Amino acid sequence: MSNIEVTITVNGTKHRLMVGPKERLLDTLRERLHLTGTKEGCGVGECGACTVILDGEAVHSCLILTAQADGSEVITVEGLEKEGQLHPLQEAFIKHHAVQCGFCTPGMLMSAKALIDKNPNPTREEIKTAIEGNLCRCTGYEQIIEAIESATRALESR
Amino acid sequence: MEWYFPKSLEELAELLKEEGVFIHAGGTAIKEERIKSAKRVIDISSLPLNYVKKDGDIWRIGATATLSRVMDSLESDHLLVKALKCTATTPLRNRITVGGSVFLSPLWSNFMGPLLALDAKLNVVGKLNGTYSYEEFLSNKAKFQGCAVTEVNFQAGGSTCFFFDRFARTANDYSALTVTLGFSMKGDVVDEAKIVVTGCKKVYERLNAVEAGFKGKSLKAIDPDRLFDDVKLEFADKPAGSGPYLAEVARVLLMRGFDALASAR
Repeated sequence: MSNIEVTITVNGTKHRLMVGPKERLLDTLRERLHLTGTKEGCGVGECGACTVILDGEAVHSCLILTAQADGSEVITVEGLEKEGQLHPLQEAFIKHHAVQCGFCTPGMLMSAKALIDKNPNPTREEIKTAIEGNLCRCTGYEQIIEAIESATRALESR
Repeated sequence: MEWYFPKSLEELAELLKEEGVFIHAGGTAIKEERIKSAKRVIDISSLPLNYVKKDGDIWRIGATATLSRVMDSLESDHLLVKALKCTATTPLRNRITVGGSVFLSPLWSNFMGPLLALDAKLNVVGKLNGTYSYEEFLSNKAKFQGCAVTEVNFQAGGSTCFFFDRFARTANDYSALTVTLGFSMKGDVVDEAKIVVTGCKKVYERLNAVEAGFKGKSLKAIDPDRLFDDVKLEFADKPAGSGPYLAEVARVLLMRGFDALASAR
């Protein structure tokens, strides 16, 4: 089959693209739209480095064919910042030293955002469940969990 | 590779007559060899099968409902919710569909034991059309080649109490085995028992002899220490442990399950 026409809204911008039948959403984001904040780690849905928000749900973009995302809305890590202001999650990650090498950070942030968009006051257990699909080999997770807790408090006080 | 996007179950049934087709929904199988070599991919995500609904006393789950949706829709203490909580991870549960999990029945989906204990039924289309028990499906998968599962359904609530547990090396590891117990009670006595172990050499085992021993007895009147003495489960060696070790783990989990259900009564 030849290429498939898809329309995807990424970080609020609508894109009409011709994609191959086996093209992954991860590749579309990185190679066509140059949104390289989304990382490729394992490529098989285990590490979570490629996590984006698709129609409100955190998903592994390495396991999604772009053809299947037609009509969908995608948010990547580049979509968190608004008018030059970091998202409270990003600020909290910096403040709590939740970043070391940084490779897992975009995926962690997107999993955290998907959680607090649905559940603004998550428990520690709910935070752990939300980021269970994101591997971090540097921080030991504690600072990441603390950062997400801190961001929820910051968002609540707004 | 050719993609098809059927808009109705009739259209899907027609497409399933072709050879070498691969059904695609959540997409978590895209790295597998089956789709890499597939000539025709049928994307069923636009079919109206993304539902979890209670229809009288039956729960009906459409094939494209995700595991997350099932967890959000069923009662929080439902057997399936307990099983799905330890299945994969949040981003994967947001994509893995019930239809794919049931059709492929990988052990890691933790679906098999609970669906057997719930006496689940499957609606299928394709070379076969109709409703079949999940147990029949599992015991004769070849018969269902060229079919697609469109719905899983099972009785809601009732007087049945359930236990589910699994054994894995870590919280996020694939299950090496699962244990499910379900007791339908009439007052204090067991009316019907269902005990299922998965991950063993026979893929799954219903402990029919033990189940029969429960019938008509009060759970408190049963000696749990001897309950599973005669159960001979065979497991292959796995990364989580040797075959004999896993058999002993299964026996321990069965006893724990019985204790949990007996003390809950």
